[in-house]
Amino acid sequence: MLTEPQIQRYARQLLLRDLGEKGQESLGAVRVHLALGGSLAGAAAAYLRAGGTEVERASTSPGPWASTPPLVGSPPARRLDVLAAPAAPGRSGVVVGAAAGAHVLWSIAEEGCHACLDLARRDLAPPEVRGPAGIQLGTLLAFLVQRRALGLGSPLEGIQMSREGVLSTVSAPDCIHRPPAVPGSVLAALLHHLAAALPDEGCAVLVGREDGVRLVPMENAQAAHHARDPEAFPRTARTAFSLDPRAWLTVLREADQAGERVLAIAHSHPEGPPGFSDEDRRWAAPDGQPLLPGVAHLVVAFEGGRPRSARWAVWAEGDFRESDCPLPAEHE
Amino acid sequence: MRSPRVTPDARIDITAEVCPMTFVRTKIALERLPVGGVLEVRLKGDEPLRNVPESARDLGHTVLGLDRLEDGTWRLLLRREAAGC
Repeated sequence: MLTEPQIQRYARQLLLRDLGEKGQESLGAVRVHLALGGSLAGAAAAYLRAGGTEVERASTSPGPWASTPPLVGSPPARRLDVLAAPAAPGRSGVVVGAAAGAHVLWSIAEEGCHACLDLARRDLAPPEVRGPAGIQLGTLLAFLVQRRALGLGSPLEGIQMSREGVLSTVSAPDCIHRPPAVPGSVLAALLHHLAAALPDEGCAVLVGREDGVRLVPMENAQAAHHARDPEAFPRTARTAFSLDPRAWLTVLREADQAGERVLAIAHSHPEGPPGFSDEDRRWAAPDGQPLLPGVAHLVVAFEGGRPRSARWAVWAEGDFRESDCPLPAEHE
Repeated sequence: MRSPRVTPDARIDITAEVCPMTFVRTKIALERLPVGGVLEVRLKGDEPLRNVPESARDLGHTVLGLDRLEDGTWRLLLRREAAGC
């Protein structure tokens, strides 16, 4: 709960939407480590301290921030790092850099994808601003840090300031380093489809974009292949799956038209084993490189006709990394 | 606007406050209530009479009633909604 002096001091910003008492407490629960210099750092520190956030500076030169005493009694629990490119925050914070005359700021939350941030900041040089432009960039920086402290915005977000001072948002790349977030209803529909294929392996494709994920149930084409030419396709649909090229093409075309991309290919192991098998690995990366870069794989293992586990396999740093996919609770 | 018969969960008196503290007090008091909680605000003067109900509505809260009392002050009833902050 804020004290009376705190309410008096922060009255104007307490009025803002998204702020209020809890928001003000969030601003106070942060300690910003500012590893920048110049007017940029001075302006950012002044705004942050005025807003109620503790700032620790790498350089100790005095500035307007020094006159603002901290108002929060308990020590700030959460650390946000502010750094010049090409450095990057270890956990959460903002990186400031320059590219082609413009300045770019990337802000990452604790849960943001650091591999994506690495890609985004790769070509950034350290910021080079002086005077008024530095102050403008510093206030923008303080704004981004406050958004992070308040838990607003997406886990990784970028903003660009042109040489003329015009601001525009920069989109983070589509994250391919982590399994996509799949709503429980979509997952339930997937399990239903895979269960219907038993005792054969079932398969499906997950397509989507930021605002939603869609299930495209697929037929396992392996049965037809095996029936037509058992010598070329010795494995039946019980132990293998394949996608019909024409159906696959339709999926790609429809996704492309809808502005979506293929997020994952899912298939089942009708009687275990759980997880991404060696066979799956050979199928997904025949020569040690992923056949479909940026596409995750989801393997649902069944036992006695019931889904027992689901495992993601996502290509990162030269191999498929597996992780659990929690199954939705059963509705019967 | 006649107020419904509800018992407020909290009361504040902002008759001695001026803008912007009138709504600062109201906003904080609303935030401290659980969703669905009712706040009674005693206010006085044209400015808060215009601005406080409107600002509360802007944040997504519900104005349940506004009554003029015999001493010339006003009694505003607000319900805290999930959307509001």
